[in-house]
Amino acid sequence: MSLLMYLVHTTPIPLLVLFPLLLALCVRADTARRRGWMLIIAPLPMLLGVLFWYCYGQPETFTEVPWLMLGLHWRFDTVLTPILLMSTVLWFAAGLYVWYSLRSGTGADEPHIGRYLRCWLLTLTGNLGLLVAADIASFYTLFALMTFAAYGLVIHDQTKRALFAGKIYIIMAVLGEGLLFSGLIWGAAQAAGGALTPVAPLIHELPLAIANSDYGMYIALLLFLGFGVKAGLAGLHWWLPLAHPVAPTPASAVLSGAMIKAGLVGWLLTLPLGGDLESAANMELVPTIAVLLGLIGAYGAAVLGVFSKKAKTVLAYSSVSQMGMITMMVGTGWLYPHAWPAILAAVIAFAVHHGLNKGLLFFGVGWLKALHGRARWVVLVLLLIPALNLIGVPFTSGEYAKDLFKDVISGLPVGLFYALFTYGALATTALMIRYFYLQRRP
Amino acid sequence: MIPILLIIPLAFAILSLLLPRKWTRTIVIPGLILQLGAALILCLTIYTEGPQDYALGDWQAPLGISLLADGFTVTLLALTALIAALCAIYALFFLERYNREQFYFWPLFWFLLASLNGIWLAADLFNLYVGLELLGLSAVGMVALTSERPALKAALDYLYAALFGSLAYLAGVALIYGAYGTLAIPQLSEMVAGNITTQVAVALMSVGLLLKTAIFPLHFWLPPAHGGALAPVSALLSALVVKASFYILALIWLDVGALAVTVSAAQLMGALGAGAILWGSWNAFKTPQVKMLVAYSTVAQLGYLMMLFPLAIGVSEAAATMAWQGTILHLLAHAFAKAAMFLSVGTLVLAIGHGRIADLGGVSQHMPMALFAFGLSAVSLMGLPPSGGFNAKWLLLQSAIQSGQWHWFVVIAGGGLLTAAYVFRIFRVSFTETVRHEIQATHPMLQLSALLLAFIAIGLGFASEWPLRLMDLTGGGTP
Amino acid sequence: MTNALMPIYVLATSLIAALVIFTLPERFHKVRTTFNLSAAVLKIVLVGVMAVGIANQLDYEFRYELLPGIDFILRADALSMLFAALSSVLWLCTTLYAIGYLEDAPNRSRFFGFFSLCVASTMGISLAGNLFTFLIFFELLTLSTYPLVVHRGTEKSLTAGRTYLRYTLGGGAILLIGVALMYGLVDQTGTITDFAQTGSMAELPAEQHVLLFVLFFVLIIGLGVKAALVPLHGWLPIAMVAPAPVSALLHAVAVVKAGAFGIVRVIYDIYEIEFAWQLGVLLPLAIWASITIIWGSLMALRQHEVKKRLAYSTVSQVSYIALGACLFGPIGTIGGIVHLLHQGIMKVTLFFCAGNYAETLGIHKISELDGAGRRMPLTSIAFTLGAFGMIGVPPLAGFISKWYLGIGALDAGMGWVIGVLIASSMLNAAYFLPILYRLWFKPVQGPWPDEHILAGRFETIGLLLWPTVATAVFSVAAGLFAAHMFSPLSWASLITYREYLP
Repeated sequence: MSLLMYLVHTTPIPLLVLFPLLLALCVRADTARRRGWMLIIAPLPMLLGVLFWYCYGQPETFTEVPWLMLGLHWRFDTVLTPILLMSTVLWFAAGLYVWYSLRSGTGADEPHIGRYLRCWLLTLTGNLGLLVAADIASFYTLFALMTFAAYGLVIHDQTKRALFAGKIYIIMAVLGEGLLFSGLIWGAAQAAGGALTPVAPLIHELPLAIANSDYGMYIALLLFLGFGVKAGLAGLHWWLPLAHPVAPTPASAVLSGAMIKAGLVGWLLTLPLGGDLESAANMELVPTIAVLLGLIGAYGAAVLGVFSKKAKTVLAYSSVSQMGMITMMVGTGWLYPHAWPAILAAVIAFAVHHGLNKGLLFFGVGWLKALHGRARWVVLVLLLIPALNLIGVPFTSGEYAKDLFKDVISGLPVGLFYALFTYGALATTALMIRYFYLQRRP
Repeated sequence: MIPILLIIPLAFAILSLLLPRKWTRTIVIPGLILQLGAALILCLTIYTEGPQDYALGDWQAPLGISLLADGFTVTLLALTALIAALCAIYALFFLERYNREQFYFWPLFWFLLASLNGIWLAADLFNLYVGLELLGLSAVGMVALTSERPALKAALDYLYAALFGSLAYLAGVALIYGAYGTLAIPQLSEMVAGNITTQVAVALMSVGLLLKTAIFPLHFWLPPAHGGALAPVSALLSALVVKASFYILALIWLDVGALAVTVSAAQLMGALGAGAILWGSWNAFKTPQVKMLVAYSTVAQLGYLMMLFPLAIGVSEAAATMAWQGTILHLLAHAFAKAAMFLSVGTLVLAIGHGRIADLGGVSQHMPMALFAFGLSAVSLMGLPPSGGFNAKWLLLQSAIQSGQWHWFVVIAGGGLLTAAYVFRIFRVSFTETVRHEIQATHPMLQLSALLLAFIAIGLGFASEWPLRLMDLTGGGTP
Repeated sequence: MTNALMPIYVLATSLIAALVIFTLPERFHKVRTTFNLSAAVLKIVLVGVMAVGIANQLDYEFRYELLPGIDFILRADALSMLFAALSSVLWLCTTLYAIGYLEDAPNRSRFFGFFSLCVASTMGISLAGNLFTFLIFFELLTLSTYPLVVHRGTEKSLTAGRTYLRYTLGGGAILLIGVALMYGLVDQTGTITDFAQTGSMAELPAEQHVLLFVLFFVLIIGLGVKAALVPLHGWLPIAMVAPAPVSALLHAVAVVKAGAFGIVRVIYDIYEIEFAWQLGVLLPLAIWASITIIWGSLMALRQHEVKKRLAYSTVSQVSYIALGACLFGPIGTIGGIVHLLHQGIMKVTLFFCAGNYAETLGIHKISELDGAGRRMPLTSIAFTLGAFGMIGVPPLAGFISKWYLGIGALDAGMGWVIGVLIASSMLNAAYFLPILYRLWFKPVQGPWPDEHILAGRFETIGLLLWPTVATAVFSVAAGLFAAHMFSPLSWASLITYREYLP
C-alpha cells in the first residue's frame, strides 16, 4: 500500500520529463522519416501535466528520489511555470512543423533524419527538465543535455556555414559550461558550509549562500556569465547570429524562443536577487555590469541586425536585443532588491511574450519560403501581429510586459535609464522593419 | 649422526667407481634420498637439541678431526643436499646424450658433495683446507668433462686458480699454526690477537679464498669455467662450490681473525664487491652467449656477498646481525636462483643447439616452463619481491642504514637495476615470434627441476624466517 | 579463522588461476576459458562477501613474520575493498573482452596467465596491510605486466617494453629506497608503516620532520612513475602498443591505479592526512598533480592516434586521484577516492571502444573514425558516454568526481584547484568532442581501413561488444545512482569517515 502511495507520489514529474528521452531511444535511422509524430507527442505529457497542475490550483508538487545522482529533487515552481508552459507550447508547435514538413516531403531528401529526431528529443528533455529541476546536479545535467544535444540541431544541414556555426556554438557552450560549473560548485560549497552532507544543496539555497559568502561577487559573476552564454549576453552572444540562421527553421524557433530562456532561468534560480538578501549590496558591481551589458545588447544587436542579409539572422539579433532588455530588467532588480518581486513578474511576462512571438516569427520565415502568391501575402500580414507584439505597441503583450517593468522603475531613482529602456522599442522596430524588408519577396 | 653426512657421499662415490657402468645411474636416486634424509634429520636434531660437535675417532682437538654442526651448518647442509638432488635429477636426463661423460660425472658429483659437506662441518682450519682441495679437484674434473678444447682450457685455468688459492690459504694456515699452535676454530677465536703475524696470515688466506671464490678482480677463471661446463655442472659450481670458499672467508674474517681485521680492510673487501657487481653486470650485459651471461651474473652476485665485510665489521651489533642474516639469505637465494637459471638456460641451449642470445627467439612458445623458471630466478637475482633475493637485499639495506654506510646502500640498491639490465635481454629476445632455429624437444623433467628450484628461490621470500631462526642456534662460527 | 584466510582466498583465486593457466597447453582453450572465468566470478563473490563484512565492521587480517621485525600483512579495510572490487569486476570484463580480442591468436596461455598474475598483484596491492607488503606486490605488478606489454613480440612492442621497464624498475628502485629508509630510520618497530595503525607518525620528534618531508617525496616519486606523474609518465603512451585489453587493464586498474592507490595509502595511512597537512607536503603534491593534469590534457590534444590520445588522457585523469588525496578535508578525499573507481570504469570503456574500432574496422587514427557511429552504434554510444564522463558532464561518473573534488578544494581553502578542474574539463572537451563529432556527424569516407569483422546481428562479435556496453552502463550507473547506498560514492564516503574519524 505504502509502495503504491510512494509511486503515485513520486512518479509524475520524472515521467513527464523522461518521456521524450524514452522516445529518443526508440528512434531508428531507417524508419525515422515516419516518426515525425514523436516530436508532437513528446512535450504533450508535460503540457498536460502543467495544465492539470494549474487546474488544481498550483499545489506544492515535487518528486524526491534521494538515491539518484546526488539526491534528485524535481518540482513545479510557481514562478517558472509560465516559462515552462510557454516552452512546452513552443516545442509542441515546432514539433508539428517538423512532422508536417516530413510528411509533406519537403524535408524528404534530407539525410540524417534519425539523428535529427534524436537530438531534438534530447534537447527537448533537457529544456523542459531544467525548468522543473530543483537540485543542482540534475539541473546542471539537464542544462548540459540541452546544450550538447542542440549541437545536432545547429549543424543539421551540414553545410560549411552550419559546421562553422556549430563549432562556435560548441566552443561557447563548453566555455559556458565551465563558467557555470565553477560558479555552481563554488556556490554549492558555500551552501554546504564545510558540512559533510549535503554536498549537493538544492538550487534555491544558492542565492542565500552566495549573498552571505565573502566571495559572493565572484560566484555571482561566474554564474551570470555562465548562464549569459546561453542567454545571448552581449559579448558572449557570438554563437547566436551564426547558429540561428543555419539551423532548420523549427529548430531556430525553439533555440530562440525556448532554449535561450534557459539562461534566464538559470539567473533567476541562482543569483542573489530579492529583498530578503540583505548583503546583496556588497556586489553592486555585477548588477551594474549586467545593466550595462544589457544596454549594449539591446542597442548593439539592433545595429548589427539591421545590416544583416538574412531574415533569420535579423531575428537572431533581435533575440540578443530582447534578451538585452531582459538583462537590464534583471540587473535593475538586482540593484534594487525591494523592487525585485515586481520586476520578477515583469521578467517572466516578458520572457513568455518574447518566446511565443519570436517562435512565430521564425516559423514565418519557413512558411514564407514555402508559399507563393496570395497565401504568402496573407501570412506576411499575419506576421505583423507578433512583430507588433515584440515592438510593444499599445494593446499588445509586449506593451503589457514592458509596462509592468516601467511601472516599477518609474518609482526608482534610475534617471536616464527609464528613457533608455523605453527607446529600446525603437531598436526592435528597426529590426522588425528589416525582417519584413528581407521577406518582401520569395 | 654427523659423520654420516660425509660417509654417504664418499660411499656412493666409491660405489659409482666400482660398480659396473650401467649401475651408476641406478644408485643415484637412493643415494640422493639417503643424503637428503640425513641432512633433514640432522636439521631436526639441531633444531631440537642445539649445536653439536663430534670428534672423529674420539681424537679431541687440537689433534683430531673435529666436526661441528650448528644451525648455520645444517642450513648449508640442507641447501647442498637439496640443490644437489635437483641438479642430479636434471643431470640424469640431461646426460642421456653424453654417454662417456656420464660415467665420470657421477663419481665426481659424489666427491663434490662429500667435500662440500666436509667444509660445512669442519671445525678447524686444516680440515677446511683438505675439503677445499678436494672440492677444487672434483670441480675441475667436472668442468673438463666434455674434453672439448675450450672446456679443457677453462678447466686448466680453474685448476691453476684453485691450486694457487689453496697454496695461499695453506701458507696462512701454517702461519696461524706457528703462532698459536692450534687450528681448531673455537679455540682460535678465543686466542687470536690483532698482531702482524695474524694479519699477514689472514691476508694470505683471504687472497687464496678470494681467488677461489672468484671475487673481482680475481674472477677471470670463473666465466669460462662455469659458462663452458655442462649445465648441471655449472649449476652446482655456481650455486654451491664458490659459496664454500666464501664461507671459509667469512669464518676467518668474522670469527677466527675478528680481532686482526680492520675496518678499512673490510671497506676494501666491500669495494671489491662493488667492483664485482659493476664489472660482472657490465660483462653480462655485453656477452652474446647466454651461458656466459649467467656466469658473469655469478661474478656480479658474489659481489653482494662481499658486502658482508664492511657491513658487519666495525658497526653496532644490530647492524652486524642484519648484515649477517642478509648475507646468509643472499647465499641461499642465489644458490637456488642460480642453479635454476643454469638449469633452465641449459635446457634452452639443449633445445636450440647452441647458446647465442640472439637465437632465442620463439622459445617462449615451445619451452614456456624453462623460460618461466628463468624468469622466476631472475626475479630473485634482481632482488625484486617476492623472493629470497629481495629479502636478502632488504636486510643488507637495513644494515647499511643502521650503520650509516650510505655508499653501500647505493651500491646494493643500484645493483638490482644492473641485474635487470642484463636479464631482460633474454626476455626481450624470447618474446619475439621469429624462430631462427629448429627447436628440439627436451624431456619435461629438465624444465620441471629448474622450475622447482626457481620456486624455492621465490618461496624463500615468504619463508625467510625459517632459515634465519635456524641460524640463530649458534655454537660458534657466527659472530 | 575464516576471517584471517579470506584475504588469502581472494588473492589465491587469481594466483592459482595464473598458475593453472600457465601449465595448460595452448590448445586447451575451452578448459582455460572456463577456469579463468569461474575464477573471476568466484573472486567477485568473495570480494562481495568481504565488502559486506567490512561494512559490518568485521576484520579480515592475515599476518605472519616474514623477516625479523617485519610482518607480511594482508588486510581488508574499506579502502582496499574499493580497489579490490574495481579490479575483480574489471578482471571479469577484460578477460571476457580479451577472449574475444585474442581469438585464434598465438600464446594465449601465456597471455591469460600473466593477465591473471597481474590481477593477483593488484589484489595484493589492494589488500596489503603495510608498506612492505605493498612493495612486494607493487614490484610483482611490474614483472607481471611486462610480458603483457611485449605480448605481440614485434620490434615496436619490445622497444616499448624496454622503456616500460626502465621507468617502472627505476621507480621501483626509488620506492624500495624510500621504503627501506622509512623502516630503517623512522619506523624500526613497523607500527607507522602498518596501514591500520594511525596517528603514530605525528608523535615523532620535530627534528625528524625534515626527513619525513624528504621521505614523502621519495615515496611519491617511486609511486609516481606508475601513477604517471609528469615527467615520470614517459612509459605510458609508448606502452600503448600492447593489445587493447592490456591497455584497458593497465590504465583502468593495474598499473596507473596501483601508483595512485599507493599515493592515497601513503598520505592517509602512513603520514595521516592531518600530519601531512602540517608537514606541508600536500600543497607541493597538489601542485605537481595539477601540472600533470594540465600537461596530460595538452599532450592529448596533439595526438592523432586514438589510443595515444586516451593514454595522455589517463595521465591527466589519474592525477585527479592524487589531487583529491591532497585536499585536506573529507569531501576532497571522497572525490579523490571515488575517482579511483570512476576513472577505472570510464577509461576501461574508452579503451574497449578503441579496441573494438581497431579489431572490427582496423581504425587506429582519429581521422579514420569518420562516420563510425552509424556502423558501430553501441560501441560509439559507449565511447560517447565515456568521453562525456571524462569531461565531467553530468550525470556520468566523472561529474561526481569533479563535483566532490571541487567542493573539497574549496573546503580545504585551495580554490585554485577549481581553475585546474575547469581548465582540464575544457581541454578534455577539446580533445574528446572532435572525436565525437567525427563519430556521429561526419560522413563515412570510403571503405574502412581494414574491416575484419563484418556487421552481423550486431556491429562486432559479442565478446568485444558486451563488456564494453557493461562498463559503459557501470559508468552511467555510478553517476546516476551516486547517492544510493551501494554506489561507489557511498563506499568512498564510508572510507573517508573511517579515515577521518578513527
